[in-house]
Amino acid sequence: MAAPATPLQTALERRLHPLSWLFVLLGQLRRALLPLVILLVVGGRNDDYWELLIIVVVALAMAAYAMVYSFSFRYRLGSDALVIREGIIDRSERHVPFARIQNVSQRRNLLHRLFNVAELRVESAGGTQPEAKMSVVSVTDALAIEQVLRQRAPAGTTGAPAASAASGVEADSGEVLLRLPLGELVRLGLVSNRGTVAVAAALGVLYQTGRDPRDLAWVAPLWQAAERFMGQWIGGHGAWTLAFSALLLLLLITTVLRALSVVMAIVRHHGFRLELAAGRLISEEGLLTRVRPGAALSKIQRGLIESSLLMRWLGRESLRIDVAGGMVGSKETASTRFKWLAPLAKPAEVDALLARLLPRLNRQRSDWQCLHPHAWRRLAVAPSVLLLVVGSALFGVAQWQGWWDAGTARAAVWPLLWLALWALIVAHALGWARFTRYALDPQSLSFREGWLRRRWRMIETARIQAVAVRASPLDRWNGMARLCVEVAGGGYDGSSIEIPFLLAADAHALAAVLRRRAEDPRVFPAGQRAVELAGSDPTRVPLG
Amino acid sequence: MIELAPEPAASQPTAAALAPLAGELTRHPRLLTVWRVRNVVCALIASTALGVGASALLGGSIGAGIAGVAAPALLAFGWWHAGAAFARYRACVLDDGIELQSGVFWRSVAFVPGLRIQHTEVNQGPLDRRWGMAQLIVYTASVKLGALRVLGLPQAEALALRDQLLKRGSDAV
Repeated sequence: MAAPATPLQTALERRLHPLSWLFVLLGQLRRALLPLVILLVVGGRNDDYWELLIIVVVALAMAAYAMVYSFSFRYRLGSDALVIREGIIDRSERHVPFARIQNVSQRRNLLHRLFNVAELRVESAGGTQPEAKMSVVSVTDALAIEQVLRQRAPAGTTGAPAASAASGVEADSGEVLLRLPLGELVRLGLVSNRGTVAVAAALGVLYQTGRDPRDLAWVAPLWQAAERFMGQWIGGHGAWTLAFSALLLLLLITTVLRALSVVMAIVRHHGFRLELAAGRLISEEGLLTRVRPGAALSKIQRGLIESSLLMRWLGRESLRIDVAGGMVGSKETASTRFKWLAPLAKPAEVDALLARLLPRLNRQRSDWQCLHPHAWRRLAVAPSVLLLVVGSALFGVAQWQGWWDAGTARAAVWPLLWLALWALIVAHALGWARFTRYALDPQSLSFREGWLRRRWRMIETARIQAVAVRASPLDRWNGMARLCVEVAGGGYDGSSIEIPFLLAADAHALAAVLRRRAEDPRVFPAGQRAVELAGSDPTRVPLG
Repeated sequence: MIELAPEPAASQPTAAALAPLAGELTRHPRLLTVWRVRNVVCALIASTALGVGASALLGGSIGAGIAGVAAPALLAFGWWHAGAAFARYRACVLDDGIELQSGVFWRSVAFVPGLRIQHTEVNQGPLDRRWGMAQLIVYTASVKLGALRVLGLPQAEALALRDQLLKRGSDAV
């Protein structure tokens, strides 16, 4: 390294790693391969070899394309932009100004790691595709490019680039803010239902193929044996034994699914490390595929703390952030998007991370404000009506078909079940309303909500992109309104912050304050309540 | 990237040589026509579907009867709804951004700060072109409220507003 930080900072064009074609090809094949594998495993009854021939020809064409594409790919780190030349017939030269680069992330799966290379993605604020995708460059090059891109991005994006300029590639190993040891990963698996989701997805794929999974060669004997066993068991035992064994079976299934979740959590998050270097966050994780997304502190848009009942029993929470930059909901970049500050951590650690990285956001506060006093009723109305309608319909059908025998004990079960469901709806509504609060201060808007699963959503008011107040007929009838506040990018769960069932006057007052705050950070005087501030606002429009 | 002009918008005559737009924007009367046509078509399709469905399930005469009752009711509702929506539809240029009020049953007041506008787009369908009408779409970096659509602007006003907004925008994220 002759020049202090940037051995790559030359006007010379650089090529990808010589093995790039392999990864380009595999990337293409993977898209074509999944349907094929499903076909071979599940379908595959006819023996036409010409289908195979077509597949081989297509694969060869892909290979040729991959070769030519990756050998013709050139990139250059100019003085103010990353210049990329790609394409064979359709040649293109793209200039990605350093100022527009939001995120730089790395991804390495097993094969990448075997050949000591990495896939590098450069993302800007818009669009649905990465601004540039380099598949693949050697690990040292990847680190050096990352380094250069960070240093060349404007000061606001990277914090203090000058400080790290002298230390070269090593500057990447910044201060480690959080690690997840194996014990935490096991806990993370236990609180997530990833295993259930995976099994459900697998069953879904099977269902899509239109074949009964019980007919599969390797499932059929197992299924038959299970059926035989069940038949004998049910025949030979009383009702209590059966109920007990059903419970046991349920427990067994749950255990297996949770164990699967634990395995998946370990594969996904193994060796999780959150680092802070020169105003940038970098998280690295993964057992097989190592991903290394990065995000500039100044581009963080929203903080989200989640805590389910299980998490609270284990004394843990999760903290994730949304970062500005396009590609929301894009599958391709989902794995390399910066998400987790802490997939799982103790509440004190979560608060410490927040205080350190996002000092304007704060949830340990005493100024939480209530929603409309009848919010719980409003929340319970829709499910209650649904329950009433469905319950009456079922009752009507039962009467009509003569299933309902009013005198017996069995008939009493159904009204009881109905009542229990309704009690659950009311309990949920009351519990939700008891926890749900919002808070506004000069710097931030926070909204916490939930019953068993609690969420804290927090944004900085200076980042607000749009504000809306909405009211449904039922809302207007109850004197309520819903406040939607958006920051850049938006959350994975829709709106950035959406506060329902507010007093209509509060919603409009909040909106008036937030929009002034979004336009000019100076107009918000500290320490006043939103309603007082908006009292004389001429632009305030009631929804009528 | 949006170009930042150093001069304030007020001192710059717009392309259409209009005074800077402020306050409530004009609603082109043809917007009401478009909405009425849309609602009438929807009502006709819905009542036809209802009639066909009911005939298949309950017999031809009952189906025809249901369609006969539903069609005028839906048409009347659609006609009224277009009028009510038009009456409530209001776009305002305020000194700090654009506000859009809309909705008959589900009402909404959406606001986009002028500084947050990423880019704008003026759209014209075939009917719009015929009547000199246009819609202005204002994009921000958010997802859910990422595009604010101001419908039924006279074409000159849409273009003037676009120019006016571009002059003050920045792409701050």
